[in-house]
Amino acid sequence: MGLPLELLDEALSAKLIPASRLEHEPRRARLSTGVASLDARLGGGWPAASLAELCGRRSAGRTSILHATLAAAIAREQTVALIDTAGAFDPRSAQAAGVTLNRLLWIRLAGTPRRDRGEDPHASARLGLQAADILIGAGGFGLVVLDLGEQAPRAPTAAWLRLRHTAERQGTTALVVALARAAGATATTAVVLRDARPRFVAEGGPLLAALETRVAVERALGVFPAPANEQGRDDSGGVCLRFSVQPALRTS
Amino acid sequence: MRVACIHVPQLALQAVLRRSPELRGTPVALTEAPIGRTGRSGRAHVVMASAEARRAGVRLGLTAAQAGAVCPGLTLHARQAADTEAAEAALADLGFAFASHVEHEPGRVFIQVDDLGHLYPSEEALAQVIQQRALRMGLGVRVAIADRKSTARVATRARERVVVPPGKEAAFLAPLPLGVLAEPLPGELAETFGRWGLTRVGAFAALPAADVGLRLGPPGARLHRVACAQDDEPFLPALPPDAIEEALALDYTIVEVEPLAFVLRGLCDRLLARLACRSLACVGITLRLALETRAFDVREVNLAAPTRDVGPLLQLARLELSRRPPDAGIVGMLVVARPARVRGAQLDFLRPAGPAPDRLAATIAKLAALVGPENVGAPRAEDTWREEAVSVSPFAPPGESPPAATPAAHVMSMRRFRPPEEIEVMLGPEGPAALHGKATTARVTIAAGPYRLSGEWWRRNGDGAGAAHDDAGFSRDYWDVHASDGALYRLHHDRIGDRWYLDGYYD
Repeated sequence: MGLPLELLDEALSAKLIPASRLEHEPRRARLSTGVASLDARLGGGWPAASLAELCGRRSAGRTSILHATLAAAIAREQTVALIDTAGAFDPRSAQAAGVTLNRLLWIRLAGTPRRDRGEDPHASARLGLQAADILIGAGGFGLVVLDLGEQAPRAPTAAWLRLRHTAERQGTTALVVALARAAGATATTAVVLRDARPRFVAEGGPLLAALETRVAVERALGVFPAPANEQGRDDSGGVCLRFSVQPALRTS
Repeated sequence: MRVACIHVPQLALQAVLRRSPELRGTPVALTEAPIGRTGRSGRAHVVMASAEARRAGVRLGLTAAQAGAVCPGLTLHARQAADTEAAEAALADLGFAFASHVEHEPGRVFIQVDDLGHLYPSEEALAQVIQQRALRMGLGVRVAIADRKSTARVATRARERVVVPPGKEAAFLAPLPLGVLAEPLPGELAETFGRWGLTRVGAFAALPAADVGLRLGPPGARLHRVACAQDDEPFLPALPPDAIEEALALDYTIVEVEPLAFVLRGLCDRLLARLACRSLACVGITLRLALETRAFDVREVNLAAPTRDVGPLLQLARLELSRRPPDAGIVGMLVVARPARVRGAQLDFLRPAGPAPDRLAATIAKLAALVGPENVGAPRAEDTWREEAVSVSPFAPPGESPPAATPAAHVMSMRRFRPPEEIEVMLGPEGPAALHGKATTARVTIAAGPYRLSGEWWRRNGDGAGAAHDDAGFSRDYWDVHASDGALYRLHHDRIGDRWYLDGYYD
C-alpha cells in the first residue's frame, strides 16, 4: 500500500524543480574567477565558451575581480586578451594581483588616433566590440575581456548575439566589464557588485586597509540551483568579498 | 637526372596580364615604346599580341594606330621593364615552390624533379600541379619534363604540357618541326635546311654528326646534338634572391590615398603569393614611392609578427600613408617584402591549445591596423616611481614565455585615469575636504595621507602628471580619499606646479 498521491507530492515538493527552472544549457567547462567564494556561487567560475558580464559602479570591486580572473586564466596557461576601452588598466596593481604582464595581450583604445573620436562618445566602445570580434573570431583565446570602463554603449542586441555565438563557436570566454549590464539576455552569466564600502584603520591617522563588496549573481544559466530568481534577483543576499590593499600600492 | 622546364610564353605580355588580371580574355597588345596620351596616337609598333588580338587581325609590326583600327576593342600597353622583371622573379619563385635547386634563364626556369616522385603520383600530375600553381600566380606556363635540359626546353616550344619518358627523347623529338630547335632558328641555318629539304628534327638527327659540324659550324653541331638527344648541357642552379620586390610604373599620377591603396593591394597580393611559394611570410614591407617631383618617399610598414594575410598589411600601409600623405603625386612605386619564417607550433598535452602562431600574428596585425601598433601588445610597468607610467612590449604567447606567476589572494586593484584629470580641491584641516573635476564632484568623507613621492629631479624643470610633462622631475603628495559618491579615489598634489590631479580610483 503506497502513500496517497497528495502526500507524495508534498513529500517531494522540496526536491521538485519547476520546468521553467530546469537546467536547459549543456554543462559547460568553467573558468575560475580567481575568487573561491564567487567560483562556488557560479558553479565553478565563468562559463567557458560563452558571454558573461561583470558590473559595478566606481569602487565596487569589479577591477579587483577582473584582475583575479586574468591571473587565474594566465596561471592555467590560457591565452588572454584585455580590450581596455578607457585605457584604465593599471599594470602595477594587476601585477600585485598575480597577473603575469607579458602573457596578457592588451589592446588600449583610449588615445587611438581616429577622426571620429571626440565626435561620438561611444566610438571607443564600438571599436572595442570590433576588436573583441577580431580576437574571439581568431580562435585559441581562453579569455577575452572587453572592459567598457564607464561607458554605456548603445550596441544593438545583434552585436552582443554575434559576440556570444562567436565565443561559443571558438570556445572562448568573453567577459564584459561595465558600470551596468550592457549585454542583457545575451549574457549567460551576469554578476553585479553592490554595497561596496572601504575599510580604514587608524594608525596615527586613517589608513586605507581594504574594500568590502557584495556580489549578486543576477543571471547564471546552467548553474543548479539557480542563484537568481525569475526576476533576476539574487535572494540570498549575495557573497561578501574583501579585497586588501597591497603594501606596494600604498606609498608611505 | 629528370629536369622540368617551366616556360612563360610572351613573358612581357603575361607580365601586363598579371598586373591587370581583368584584361584576361580580351584583345591586348604590347608596344615597344610609350604610346602617347591617347593610347593609340603614337607611332609605336606592336611587339606582342594576345591570342584574342591576333584572332581579331592584329599583327606584329603594326603601329598602335593601325592596330587600333583593325581591332576597335584593343587594349594597348607599353612594355615596362618593372613588370617584366617582377614576372621573371615570380617565375623563379614558382620554381622554388617545387624544388630547392632552380636554374633561371629569361622566360624559363629549370628544376630537378627526381626527388618529387614520392609527392606526386606521376610526372604528368606534377606538371599539372605546376601549371595550376602558376595560374594562381597570374602566369600561364608551359611545362616539359625530360632527361635533359635541352630536350625539355625544346619540348616547351612544341607543347603546352609534356612528359618525355626516360630514354625516349630522340623518338619524341623526331616528328617535331626544325623550328623548335632554337628560338628563333638562325637565318643562315634555316636557309640551309630549306636547301637540303629538311623539315623535321628526325631527318636532321639522321645526318652524320661529323659532316654536319663540317658544313654548319659549331652552332649547327650543337643543334645536331640537341636533335639527337645527346646534348650534355649542365644544370646550373642559383641561390634564391634575398629581396622579394614588386614594382609598378604608372601612366598617370595618383594623389589620394584610396586609389594608391587599390594599386598597392595588387602589388602586395603578388608579393605574398611569391613568399608563399617559398614557404615564407611577410614581417613588413618597404614602400618606395616615386613622386612626380622626381623625389622618392620611402616608408616602412612593420608587422608585429609574420603573416601571409594581405588585409592587415594593407591596412597598416594605408594608416601610415593617411598619417603622413606624400608631398606630391605618385608616378611609380616599389614594394620590397621583408621575408620571415612562419613559426611552427608544438602542441602540449598539458596546456590548452592557444591560437596558431600565424593566426595570432594576423590577429595582432589586424588589431594594430584598427587601433595603432603602439596600442597593441603586453603591458609593462616602467622602471620609475611615477605610478601612471606604462608602456607596451611585444606579446609573448604562453608557449614562448616563462611560467606565469601564482595568483595572489583578494588584492584590491586600481583603475587609472590616463592622463590624470586635473581637479580643484577644497582643503580642510585633515586634508582634502571636497573635490571638483570634469566628471567628478564630491565631498570627501575620509582622507588618508599624505604619502610623499618625488623623483627624477635630475630631469629638466617642472613637474606634471600628464603626458606633456613626462620628461620632467616630480614631487607629489598622494591621498586616498573616500568621497560622498561612494568611490575611493587616489589623488595627488603636484608640489612643483601647485595643482591637484585625480589619478584614478580603487575598484
